[in-house]
Amino acid sequence: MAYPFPSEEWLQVLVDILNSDERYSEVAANWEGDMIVVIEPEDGDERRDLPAAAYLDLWHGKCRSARFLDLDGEEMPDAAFTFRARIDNIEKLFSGQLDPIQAMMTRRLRVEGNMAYMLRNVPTVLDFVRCCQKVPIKD
Amino acid sequence: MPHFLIIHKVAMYPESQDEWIDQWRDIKKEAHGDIEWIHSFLDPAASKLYCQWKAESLESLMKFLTPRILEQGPVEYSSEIVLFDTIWLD
Repeated sequence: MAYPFPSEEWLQVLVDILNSDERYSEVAANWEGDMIVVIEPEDGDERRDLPAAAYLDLWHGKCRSARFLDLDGEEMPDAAFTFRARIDNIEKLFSGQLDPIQAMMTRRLRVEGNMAYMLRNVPTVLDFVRCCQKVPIKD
Repeated sequence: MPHFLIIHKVAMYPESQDEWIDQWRDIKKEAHGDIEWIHSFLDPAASKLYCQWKAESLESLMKFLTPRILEQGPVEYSSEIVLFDTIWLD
């Protein structure tokens, strides 16, 4: 089954994967940090309700909670990391067409947060993306 | 030109994405002429960076690795290496 992206259904399937994936549990065992993923529109694309932002509380190989933020009605939580990218680049990341490190080095994926911590734990970030790739996206 | 492997111990990680990219861009930009940075592999568990370079000699490469670069990642090992590209087997 495929899920629309971005959507609560997509996010909840990702949470289930993060909380059941043995490899993620092992690789991210030491990870302590919540994150916000801001999904921005492509230039001139008004078809989707963007920007949107998902908040994920990631802690020691599990996802304790996740939800989409109400960007009009609530303040952005003070998360350890904020990732920002246009939706077309996020879809490329999640389909495996764009390498996560390449996305960061070309600023197609922008990262706010402690870069030293992220680089020391880059396998966790890569495995998080691998889990995202497991959720089918509806065209 | 010969290839070289330089193994750095990562002493200082960049604090932001911009700092990381800007530093690496500067190094790549400064490496011109006889010196070329091919690619790097990070081993985060060991905090080591394995860098492949092309240069006229190990001496010219080490001269290029300025004190600024060496402060961020002191060299633990350096040697001339030979490329065996598995694509040549196809």
